[in-house]
Amino acid sequence: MKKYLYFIPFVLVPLPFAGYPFLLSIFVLIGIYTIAAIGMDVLTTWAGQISIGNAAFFAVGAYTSAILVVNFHVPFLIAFLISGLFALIIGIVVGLPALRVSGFYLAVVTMAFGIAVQQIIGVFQITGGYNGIRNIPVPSFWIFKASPLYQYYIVLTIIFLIFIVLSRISFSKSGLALFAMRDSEIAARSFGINLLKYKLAAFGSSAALTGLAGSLYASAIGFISPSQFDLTLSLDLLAMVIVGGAGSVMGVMIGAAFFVGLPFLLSGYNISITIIQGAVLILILLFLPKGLLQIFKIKDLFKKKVT
Amino acid sequence: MILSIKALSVKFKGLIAVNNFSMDVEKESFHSLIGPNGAGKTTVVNALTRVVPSTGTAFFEGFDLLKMPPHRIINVGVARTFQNLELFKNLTVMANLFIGTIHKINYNFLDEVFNTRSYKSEQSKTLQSIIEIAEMLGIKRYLNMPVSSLPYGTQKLVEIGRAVISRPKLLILDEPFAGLNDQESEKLKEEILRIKGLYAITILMIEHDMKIVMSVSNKITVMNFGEKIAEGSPSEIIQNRKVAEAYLGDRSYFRS
Repeated sequence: MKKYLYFIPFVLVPLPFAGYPFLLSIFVLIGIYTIAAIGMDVLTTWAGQISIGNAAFFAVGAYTSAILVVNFHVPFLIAFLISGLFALIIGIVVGLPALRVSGFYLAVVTMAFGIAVQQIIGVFQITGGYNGIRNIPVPSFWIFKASPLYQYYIVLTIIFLIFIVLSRISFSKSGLALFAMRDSEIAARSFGINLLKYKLAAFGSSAALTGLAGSLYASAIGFISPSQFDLTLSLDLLAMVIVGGAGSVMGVMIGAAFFVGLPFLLSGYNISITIIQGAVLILILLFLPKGLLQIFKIKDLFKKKVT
Repeated sequence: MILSIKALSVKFKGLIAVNNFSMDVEKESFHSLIGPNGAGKTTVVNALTRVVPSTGTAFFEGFDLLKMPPHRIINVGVARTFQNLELFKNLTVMANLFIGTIHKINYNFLDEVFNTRSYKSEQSKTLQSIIEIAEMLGIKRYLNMPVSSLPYGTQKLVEIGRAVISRPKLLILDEPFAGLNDQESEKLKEEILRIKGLYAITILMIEHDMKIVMSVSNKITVMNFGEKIAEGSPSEIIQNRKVAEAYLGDRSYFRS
């Protein structure tokens, strides 16, 4: 039960800011990116695969949801679920090359996929071309009302559910099978782990989580266009995992807060955000190789390194 | 006879690593596979466990191992260890042993998510067998430590434990004694013999340490340049001239 208590601060955090909808909407964005970054975490830290094309799943989720809501007047909850399902299917298809290539080659394949999806979206009429889709209505449905505070708690609940699922499978068959595949494919296979099944499952679930995040994003922002889902977003998702603390939902949350929140925090000043982000990224990798989460385990920092 | 290999060949782009190799392993025997470096011993094992593609047949209790998908091999009761340790190095000893039983676990993803009764009972059964094996191998106090933090000898024990916990009928050990000192070797030998007796396992072992090979084996198969050059009991192998020649005529190898 102790692990669930870590969520209490996140329940309380927005309350002092209840009168500042703009701040709250940033919290909502952080939460949405957290969901997408958890998708990246499952793929990389859990399953040992690499993808720098996850922005495409984000785009698939966002566009599926937006088109369904705007053009076909589908209730948001249904559009939300369909966009996750659609991303899942595409994720499984994208996972197929992972059965043959790994490492840098897989990185390049997924990158190509990400860029291709971005271009394809720009071509079609139904996606609004390069102008994107405007005025995506904020759903009046109970699940995602206009109030940022309401949205925040919905997003937090989704993260919490994902956290429960992940912590339950982490020392069970599915979780350990993924970890085994990550550490040694040869040994995993000779102990009965079907690499085909688990690689596709990893890509599928990563894509589904990212797609769901994309759907929430489209509704929260109200405007999407291909340029929002570029290579930078894919790399940011990867960096969020590394910066925060790979393999932990808390860590990923911190990473998302760092990448989404910091630009807003510094937007009032005349500083180039990329320089700061880059510098901090290097410092973190040098001094906190396990991510920002390490700060909270101060004891570890003073331990002698055993390698 | 539990395993019968017939006309096994493995080719790597023109290089013939194993050529027309045949061998029978008797049930509950301790069978050693020896030979100079590069003779193709590990390749035979890799072919049997479908790590490398091969031709021929290898019947194990009615199943042709060479026709099975790699992840099914463990289900018929063949487990192995690896020459250069293939542990799941970021995981704890407990998790490593857990993965040794993963092929027997029946619950599915939804059982895990909803903590169903079948999940709980299987999970506690698995944990029990992990503790049992760990106690037997004397690694219980390492259960919660990451394997990469353990000394080499202990890591070897974990790898053997991971194979044994799958309850194999045939256990294939690839150079289990390499890199261990005399004391550690003696201890590991005791453990292996004890496990073998306890679970009535058949063992196929690749090993270079002749003292150990001669003392534990019922039967020895000798390979050189991808072919079988001799087979027989330890005393027959010691007398065999072809074997002595394969090892550069160094007869002192066999004095023990």
